[in-house]
Amino acid sequence: MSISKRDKVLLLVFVFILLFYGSYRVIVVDQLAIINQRKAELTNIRNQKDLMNELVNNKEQIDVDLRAINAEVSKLKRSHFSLIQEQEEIILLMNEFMANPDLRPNIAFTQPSNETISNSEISSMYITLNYESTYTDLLNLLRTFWQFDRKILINQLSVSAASENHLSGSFELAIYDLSPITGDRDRLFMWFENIENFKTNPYAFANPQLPDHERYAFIDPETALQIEKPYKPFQDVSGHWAESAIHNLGERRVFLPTGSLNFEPDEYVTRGLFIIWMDRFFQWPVPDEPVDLTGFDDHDTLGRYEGSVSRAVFSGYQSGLIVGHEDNTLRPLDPITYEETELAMRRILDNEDFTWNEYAEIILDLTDYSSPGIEDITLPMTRAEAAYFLYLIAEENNR
Amino acid sequence: MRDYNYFSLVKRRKKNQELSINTSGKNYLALLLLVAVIASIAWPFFNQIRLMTINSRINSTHQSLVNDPQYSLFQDLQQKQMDISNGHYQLSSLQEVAQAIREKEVITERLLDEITELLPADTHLTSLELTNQTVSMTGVARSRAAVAELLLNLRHSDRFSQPYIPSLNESNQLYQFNLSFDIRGGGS
Repeated sequence: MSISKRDKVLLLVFVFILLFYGSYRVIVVDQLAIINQRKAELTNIRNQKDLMNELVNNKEQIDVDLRAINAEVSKLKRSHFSLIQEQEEIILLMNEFMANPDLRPNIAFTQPSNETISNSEISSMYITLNYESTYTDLLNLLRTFWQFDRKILINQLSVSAASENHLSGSFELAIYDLSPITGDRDRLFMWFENIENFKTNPYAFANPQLPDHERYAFIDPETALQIEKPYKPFQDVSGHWAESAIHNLGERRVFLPTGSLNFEPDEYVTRGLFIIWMDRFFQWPVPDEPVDLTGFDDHDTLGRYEGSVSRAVFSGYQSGLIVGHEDNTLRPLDPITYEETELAMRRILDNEDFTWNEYAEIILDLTDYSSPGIEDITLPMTRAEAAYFLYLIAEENNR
Repeated sequence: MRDYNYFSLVKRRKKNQELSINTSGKNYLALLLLVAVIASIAWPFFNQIRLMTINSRINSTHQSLVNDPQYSLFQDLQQKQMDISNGHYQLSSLQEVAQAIREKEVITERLLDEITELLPADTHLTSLELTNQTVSMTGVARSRAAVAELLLNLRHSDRFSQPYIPSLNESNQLYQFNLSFDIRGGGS
């Protein structure tokens, strides 16, 4: 078959069109897609620059907004429970509520279960208490539930009067755990180490002569139920050069319960703990409103000390007695140096001439302990030194 | 004499015209093919250059962004903005739940006080059952009038409704009564 010249030309045109279209579809279309994607990326980066300028200009407002929202969330979290899954917490709480020896109700618990309230899933637990008491005692017990900082509802109340002063009956408490929403779980109690009290015979009856040892401490400093337990001496300070000072301050409730009977006197004292000790020692006034520390970049590191540090910072940091770092951090877990202690104590004692050396010399005279701070005030201070120093301040001021 | 073909001129002209048309058509075709070839090569090439230019701009803009002294602050602020956004969401859920829990709270000290205040002086309770919706009580009164006064007090109360006494029994000149009523706005 012969192909005419015209056909050849048309075939050539067709091949070229095919080539052109093929190149368009295979190369150009992809390229255009990538170009559009990159253009969007470029626009996004430019928008980020604009956003950066806008955010930096609004930094103060963002910090204010974040503090406000955290304070609101924190307030709501603190007004509800967050750990009912651990029933021992609830048993200890009931134990604290029933401090009145005339009231010995029997308690029955339901299993914690999930409940949907306002489209949010939360946990709930119902507790039934059977009692025998006077009306006054019953009312006082009910008041402790009504007035407790974390919401406890009384769902049902039954009272039968055998006589004017002898009531019996039951009531049901409902407690709601909002941790499924907040994701946070904060404990109400901390346990003390109790390695000595273990049984060798599981069937041996508990010795009634055994002293009722401290097992736990209430750790919610903001609550109305705060209980000051008697000081239980630290076990690792026997024979230590600062032993008497540590026990003295322990009696004064300067040390926050830690769940341990070890003071670890030769470990460094952290900035956060030093603020708390100062607060408890000088008994700075309790803030009317919760203090929000979320403005500090490292507020997350405060952990369970937040309430105590907030309290301490109210009079410490806000009035300039305790200073944060220039980079907007509190660094509560960093050891405090002799130099930082000097700066803080000059403000707290309102004494510009205060020096660590003066107190280090006194400690040397009284205990033969030579503080490394005499040679170098940039070194960190130990817990024993901090305790002895506070002890000396107390002695000076007849506290 | 040679015959003169008047049409030959026309034929020649037409042939020349055809020749010219063929030639210019070929030229156009060649030009078209040339353009197609160039376009097939140049367009991707041009796009590649555009892409490189945009990539370069992206890199330089990104570098200037991340090298900005305020970039770390910017990242921090962005995180804070995200925290604010999450916080608003969490707060909204918490507020709704807290409000719902508050609404569930019916048995309060105030409620006990209100029930106590309704009782005439010459009556007393022997039992009381409170739920979030209803109150049932049994009691003793010195007279039927005292029981009626209790009912009247309940009927006039803004807090309670539907008071009902199914039985009133006399024993040794004392009147034992059963009474139940609803709590207005009581929860579930």
